[in-house]
Amino acid sequence: MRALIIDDSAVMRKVVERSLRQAGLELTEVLQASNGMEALDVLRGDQQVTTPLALILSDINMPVMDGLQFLEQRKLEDLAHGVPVVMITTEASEPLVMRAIAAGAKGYICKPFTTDQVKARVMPLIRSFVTA
Amino acid sequence: MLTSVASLENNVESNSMFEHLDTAIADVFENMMGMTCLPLEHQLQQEQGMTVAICFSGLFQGGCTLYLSQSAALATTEALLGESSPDPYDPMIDDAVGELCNMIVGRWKSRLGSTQAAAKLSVPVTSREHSSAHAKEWNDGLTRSYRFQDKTFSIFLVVSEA
Repeated sequence: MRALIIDDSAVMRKVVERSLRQAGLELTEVLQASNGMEALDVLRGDQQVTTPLALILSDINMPVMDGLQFLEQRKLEDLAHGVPVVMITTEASEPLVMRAIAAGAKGYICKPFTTDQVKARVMPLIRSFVTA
Repeated sequence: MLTSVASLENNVESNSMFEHLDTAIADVFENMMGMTCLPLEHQLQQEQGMTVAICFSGLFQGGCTLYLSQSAALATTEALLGESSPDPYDPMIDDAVGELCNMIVGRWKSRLGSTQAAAKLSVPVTSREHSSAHAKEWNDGLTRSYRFQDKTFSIFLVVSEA
């Protein structure tokens, strides 16, 4: 299983990857990006890969291009179609959550988080994506 | 009009700020690092080592500065990453304490009422030089010290109504 983690903090990218593995995800490859712009480049370059991504996790507050702009641009370019995107962020105000969902996010995890919370949010999305 | 929390007549509000801060810090340490972190009854001298500052803007203004020693910064980095970092000048330490402050402030903000939670947070700014610039700039505020394992750190918090 392949995943993309987007966060401007290298520490948080590592923490999120570790949580995914602890949650039981068998990750064969974890792609990383430090902002939305980099993530779009990763997705554009990933279109010919035989094993598609199964999950994208993204922070919201990032320099250059934030998580919401990333969602909107990804939708516009139809990149990683159908791949579930889960937002992981300290910003969890209702308007922000609604905007993220409207832009295509399938889930929301607030920092600080536990491995159980990651598992509960991510596993059902992956199951429905894999069986779709 | 800017009114610092310390000058608010209603002490209940200040106490509530502290309670929310205590809970936010406990949540961050427990969830992300599996550690217990508790407030100290007395305020420590601001730690020499690293500072992280985050500003609030919007419906309320102010900021939060985290003061911690090199050893406390290293301990939190290792606990977050689950691995040791032999280099005390590893940039991952700056990154980790920035995220630590970000998570504390984010959690604290989410525990406030919806109006206050509408403020935006700045990107954390980390410095390895001891600085009380924000404290001087903002004058009044709340300072609270905390302990995890055998390490301590302090947080300075000031909130103003816009």
